[in-house]
Amino acid sequence: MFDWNGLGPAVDYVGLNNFKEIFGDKVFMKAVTNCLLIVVLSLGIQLPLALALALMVGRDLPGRAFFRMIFFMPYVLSEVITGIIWMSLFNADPSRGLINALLILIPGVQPQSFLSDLNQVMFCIFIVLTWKFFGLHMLLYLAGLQNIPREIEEAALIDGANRWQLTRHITIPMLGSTIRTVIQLSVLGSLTQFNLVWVMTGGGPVNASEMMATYMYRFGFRRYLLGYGSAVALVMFVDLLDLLRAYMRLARQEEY
Amino acid sequence: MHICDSHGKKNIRALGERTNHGYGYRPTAAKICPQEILAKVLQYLVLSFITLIIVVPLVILVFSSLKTTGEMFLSPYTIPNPPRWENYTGILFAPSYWVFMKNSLIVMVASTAGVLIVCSLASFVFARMKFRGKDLAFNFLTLGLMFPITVAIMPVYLVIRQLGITDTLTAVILVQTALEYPGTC
Repeated sequence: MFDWNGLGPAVDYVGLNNFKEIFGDKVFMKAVTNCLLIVVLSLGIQLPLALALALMVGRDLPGRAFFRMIFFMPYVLSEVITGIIWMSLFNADPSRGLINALLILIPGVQPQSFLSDLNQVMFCIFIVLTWKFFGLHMLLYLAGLQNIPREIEEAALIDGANRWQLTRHITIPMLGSTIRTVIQLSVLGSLTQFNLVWVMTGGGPVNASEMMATYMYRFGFRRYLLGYGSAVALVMFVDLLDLLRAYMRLARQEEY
Repeated sequence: MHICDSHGKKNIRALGERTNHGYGYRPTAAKICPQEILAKVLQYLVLSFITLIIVVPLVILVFSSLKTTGEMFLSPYTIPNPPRWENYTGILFAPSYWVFMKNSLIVMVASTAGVLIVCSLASFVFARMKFRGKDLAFNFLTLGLMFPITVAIMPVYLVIRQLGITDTLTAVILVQTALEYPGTC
């Protein structure tokens, strides 16, 4: 609540002006929209993908240990290194960026400018996030799968259920609590994502990939508006808390 | 378990024949039907495709670690020829590398020890003792689980600066321990 640059005592009391400024700032609204976009995309694409893969490598597939290890590898890598690798892959010049080099092999496709394109940048970041984090989610699902007693599945088989019915009516309901945990972790992670975005784009181009955390960092530490940055952090925290409380109430209703 | 989806009623046979003694099932020689093979092939195709997506960036990382900067920009995807092992020896013999390594180790050991000591004591209290406001205190601590470092970094920085321990390992260790705390207790 102060107009404070972090040097000397905070004397310049501005009341709620910082908050007013935050909500009036188009860039902050853009950051919130971007965060929500990432949340929606990861709930809609990343988590189902992880679940499908967990079911695939779950039990009786020869070579499953190998696939599990490979899928978990990106998660072990540090986020900064991930960002650097993918920056080079997304390079707009086909002679340097692998993805563009593959794209121009398809006739009639122009090389894309991925990370420097206002409309593509968020999706590129989402791809990298998926690449890095689906292994973790898959591992959580696998842990949940192991807790399902085999007898129930056998009973269902004897009753004449087929594979799809087995998955739909036994496996997924019994994974319920795991799925709720994974959703919660994923939403939290998406909303507070900082490292990857900061390394890959720094919130650019023209704030197109700004996230709440990068916005806060930029104002708090780059421009030395510690008062304003703290206000952003507070807004972020209250948002997260409300979201989680709402989510927990919703999830508890489903419990049986 | 090998089950053909098309023969729903015969699934029971897929579980195997009852053995004469006990309750165990002895697996029958797996009956292979075309759908099953197709499903397996599809599964492996999908898995291999995803493996490829995951491995290619990592391989590129390894390859470029064996090239000079110029080579990396000229031909980013080729096998390094000749491999520049001096990149690695350069790192290993650089004095700064060992300083970084030492710092990391100090932080790791100290914060792990701190978390272990403090969290075991705290979780004992929460598990075994009854006192007023226990639930409140516990909920307050678990609040930290949904508290990402990015949100906390600003006030943490200010506290550290007030303590006059910016740019020291002590600060990193303290913060690290505090952040790990709710997850383990």
